[in-house]
Amino acid sequence: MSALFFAVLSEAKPWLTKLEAKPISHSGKFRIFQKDNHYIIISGTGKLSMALAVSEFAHTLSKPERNQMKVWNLGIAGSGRSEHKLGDFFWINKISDVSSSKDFYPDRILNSNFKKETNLKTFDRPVTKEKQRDRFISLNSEELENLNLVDMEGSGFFEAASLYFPLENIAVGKLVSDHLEGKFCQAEDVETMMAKTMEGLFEEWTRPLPWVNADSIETVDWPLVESFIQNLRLTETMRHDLKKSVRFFRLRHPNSQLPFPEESDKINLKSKTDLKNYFDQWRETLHV
Amino acid sequence: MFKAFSHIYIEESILDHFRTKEILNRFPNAIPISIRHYKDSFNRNSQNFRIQKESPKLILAEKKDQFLYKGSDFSPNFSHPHFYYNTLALNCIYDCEYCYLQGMFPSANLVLFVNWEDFFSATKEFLDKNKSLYLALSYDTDLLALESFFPATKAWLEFATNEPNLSLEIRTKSTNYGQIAKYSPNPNVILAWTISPQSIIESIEHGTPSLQARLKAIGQAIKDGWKVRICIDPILRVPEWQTHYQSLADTLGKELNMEGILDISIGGFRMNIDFLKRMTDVRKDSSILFHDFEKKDKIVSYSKLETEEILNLMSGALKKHFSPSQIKVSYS
Ligand code: SF4
Repeated sequence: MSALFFAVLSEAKPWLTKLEAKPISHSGKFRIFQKDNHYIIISGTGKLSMALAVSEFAHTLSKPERNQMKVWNLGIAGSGRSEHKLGDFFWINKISDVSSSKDFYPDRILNSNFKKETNLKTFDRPVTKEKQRDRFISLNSEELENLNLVDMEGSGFFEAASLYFPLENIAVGKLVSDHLEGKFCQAEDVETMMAKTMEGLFEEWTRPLPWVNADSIETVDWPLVESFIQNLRLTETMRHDLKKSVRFFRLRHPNSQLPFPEESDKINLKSKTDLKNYFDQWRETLHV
Repeated sequence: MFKAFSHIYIEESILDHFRTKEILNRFPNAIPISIRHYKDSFNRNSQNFRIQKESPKLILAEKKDQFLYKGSDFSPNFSHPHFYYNTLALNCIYDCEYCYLQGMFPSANLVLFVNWEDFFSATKEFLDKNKSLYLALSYDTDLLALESFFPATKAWLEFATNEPNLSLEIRTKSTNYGQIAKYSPNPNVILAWTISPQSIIESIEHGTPSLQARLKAIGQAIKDGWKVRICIDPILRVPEWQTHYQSLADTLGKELNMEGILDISIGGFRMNIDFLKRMTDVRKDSSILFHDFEKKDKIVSYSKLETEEILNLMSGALKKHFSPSQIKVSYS
């Protein structure tokens, strides 16, 4: 399962085409496209919109689904470094939110064909190194000195995503679209650049997370036990302890049949004590 | 031994520290990332210890306070009035399934504090005031295992040379004895090796050196005149544990010089209940953690009977080769 968040449609277009994703109808505000287990979400610009989009999407999923979901934010970013070429792609290992002074550290755990990494600063408005451009924040030379990439969504995405998804499932990648000249990028140029990066990234995005493995105790053993105990009035603690015992047995005896008590004995369970004894004896047979 | 670190997080205040630079030189391919405080990275919510352990990162930091902690009740204090430990590093490059660090720390990344001088001053101050200190140096980590890029053990051995009231215990599973072999043995320093049967090392103490390699290091340390402690702790009730531990005792008797051993400390598995809960949440594939433990005062352990059985068997087996006064029970 994977989800990919973009700020604007031009960033998303090549991905939508490649995935053959269709818009889903839902009651929310944001556009969500889907194909099988893969989702593409478009938030609109700005960190607040991005955070809201993440939150809205997360609420369409259950917790187990969220735990299995790979969640990315990709998009364009301005670069303060002349050595960065237009179209260069970077994974982000640190995001600083300029207005709140908060820092975030996306873990780089998985290997990628794209090797370059850098940090990102998220501003509330577009940024330029030129003086006084309408709608832009002008940075002075000191502010520009330690600047790598800048965008308007990264911190909003990461802060929101880390509330709903496991940290290790989240990644942010940005490609260089300009060198802070104070102009807005043309949609076609953005689309072309995003299409190029997508070629190498699509497979990485759709590949399942390697640490999401089916737990055979959850999927095979426990359902059997649950159906056996459904008419026994076990307390939550007893169920919890039983599950642990089942796990112990399965880990020690991967190929053996799980021992169950006699079904017929259930009829003789008249009191709480009977149940407790029955339960304790069962657990003993699991701890061998 | 362990995978080189792909990323190194460095607190801004120690970016230019000489020790930071030395460590960075050891990992030329690691990507450096500056951070304000190590806790901003280390203490984040919802990190998955197991997944991080697959690709651990290094965090270089400055310890600002608490250079000495009072020893916990889980650890033997060897009857010392001032039993303390310090934390020059947090986490370990090894991956033992029973390790409490998995339940104690939110992150599997390895934190190294580079301001050793502050640890030394605090220790000196304590010694001036209290006249004696038994300091466990390798507590929330295996310090000697880090020696090739974080040579703190050497530095403490040097420090201890001039502090006759300081006793150190350096506990390890590593075979890095060679790194400190050039120092003359200090009678106030105990080199303590934790050992287990080879089958347990292979199946449970992931990434640690083999029993034979550990015994070789121990043998050399004894020969060189160091005070050596052997820790068979935790003793685990794995299938056929009796055979494994009995034969471990015999191997020790055969391969080690009894006189060279200060003591052998034995103990059954025990753990803080909250740590175990956190460990079993993420490490669902380790049967030793799902034993039907006894719970008492926030501690889980083998039942009284099981513990007795373990300790009786082990002390009996050891007594064949070592004097009873050498055998110490660390937790019963
Ligand atoms: S060697 Fe010690 S500190 Fe390291 S993982 Fe094993 S038990 Fe934990």
